[in-house]
Amino acid sequence: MKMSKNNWYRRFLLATKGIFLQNPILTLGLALPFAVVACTSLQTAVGLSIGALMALIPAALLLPYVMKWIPQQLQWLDYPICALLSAVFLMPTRLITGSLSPALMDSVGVYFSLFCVSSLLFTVKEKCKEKEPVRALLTLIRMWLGVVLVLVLMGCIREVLGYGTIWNKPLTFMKIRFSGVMVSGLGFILLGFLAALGKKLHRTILSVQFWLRDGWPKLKAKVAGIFEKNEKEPKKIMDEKELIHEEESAEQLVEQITETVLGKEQDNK
Amino acid sequence: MMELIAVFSAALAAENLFFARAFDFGNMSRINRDPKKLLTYGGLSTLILTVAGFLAYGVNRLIAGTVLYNYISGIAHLLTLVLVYSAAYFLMGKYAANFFEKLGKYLPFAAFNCATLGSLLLSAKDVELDSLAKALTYHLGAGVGFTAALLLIWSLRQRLSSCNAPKSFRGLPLQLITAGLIALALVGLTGNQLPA
Repeated sequence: MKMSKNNWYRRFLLATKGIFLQNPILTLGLALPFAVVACTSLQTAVGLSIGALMALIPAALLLPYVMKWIPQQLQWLDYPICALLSAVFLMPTRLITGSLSPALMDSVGVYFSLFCVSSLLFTVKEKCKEKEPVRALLTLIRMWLGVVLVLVLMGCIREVLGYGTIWNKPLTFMKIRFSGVMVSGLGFILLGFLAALGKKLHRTILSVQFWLRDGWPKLKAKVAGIFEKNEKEPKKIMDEKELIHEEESAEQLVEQITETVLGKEQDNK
Repeated sequence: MMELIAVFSAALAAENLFFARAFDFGNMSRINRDPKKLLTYGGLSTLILTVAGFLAYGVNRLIAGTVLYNYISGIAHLLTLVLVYSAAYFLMGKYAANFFEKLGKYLPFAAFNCATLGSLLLSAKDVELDSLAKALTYHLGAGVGFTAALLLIWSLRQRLSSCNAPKSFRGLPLQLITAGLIALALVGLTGNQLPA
């Protein structure tokens, strides 16, 4: 299915590339451990989002400048340097977040440290390699927002279903708890269904758009055709030839009637 | 000996790095490759993980008990991975040039992924892995389990690509759901546990 350049949905998707189009988690399958296992509540989702922000953006932006200082023979060290840069930024973040909310750090566990070697970081690094800083920053922010969107969604769904709360506030309408959603297996399944839902939504919007473009005019033409038929039928009666014919036949009928009536009168006389 | 076998089998199946912890292998599209390359990639990861596990055991002993342990353990274990990666790069380049030419490009992905660092961090926190032999067995089991998961996912992908699934579920969604079902089956071995 091709979309024209002026298509609003196409423009929306291109403007939000990384959030809805090519979402790092739902489309590319990156950063799975954070979405599947670690993200069990809205609070952990927010904590992981802060971790992702601090691990991805500074490291990916600084890496090209750091690599300029490294001699050509040691360029193969780009992956370890990227990971170390990310870990350096993660350490103070962990300190600050841990002092603000120790429970959050306990629930996230080792997963917080894994941002510095996640596939997300290395994909982002490759994407921002040859881009200008401003463009690279925009790409990074969009990808980060895409990650945050999925993490928050997963966190909300799991917290509501598993604990019957949202941001630790109990929801009165949730009487049943499904604690199984906290297990990694159901995390995978939930993420799979979210990815499928995203695809379905995309396909539905596309099909509605194409129906509006191609299907709607056809339907309109069909409906118009039916109405035209109905409108043409009375016009046919009004055709001149038919009218003359009808008038003639009517006159003949009148003459016949008058003749018969007059004949009967004469017979009576 | 029985303890070591128990640790190995637990790391291999019940606490599988992919199915139980969801530690990914990097980009999922990499699984499209042929099984030989996947096996080599998994083997490289296992080798790096086992050697790094040996070093990490010492590092963990050094930093354990310090005030900032929780904050510096991540970077300390990452440094051991960097060290092992650098050593592997040099040694492979010098003594196995042919091998290096073919598989050198996979080396950074095999060394720096969630599975390797995650396994090191988990073993550092696990109080049951109190000896070097147990820690090394755990890493070996984790590496073998990781490679098995890679091959399993590859096989699943091959089978799922030919099945008649709804269009929205084709590709990654179906792959995730199937991985979830396998993970649920493995959870049956240990029971429901929240992440460490």
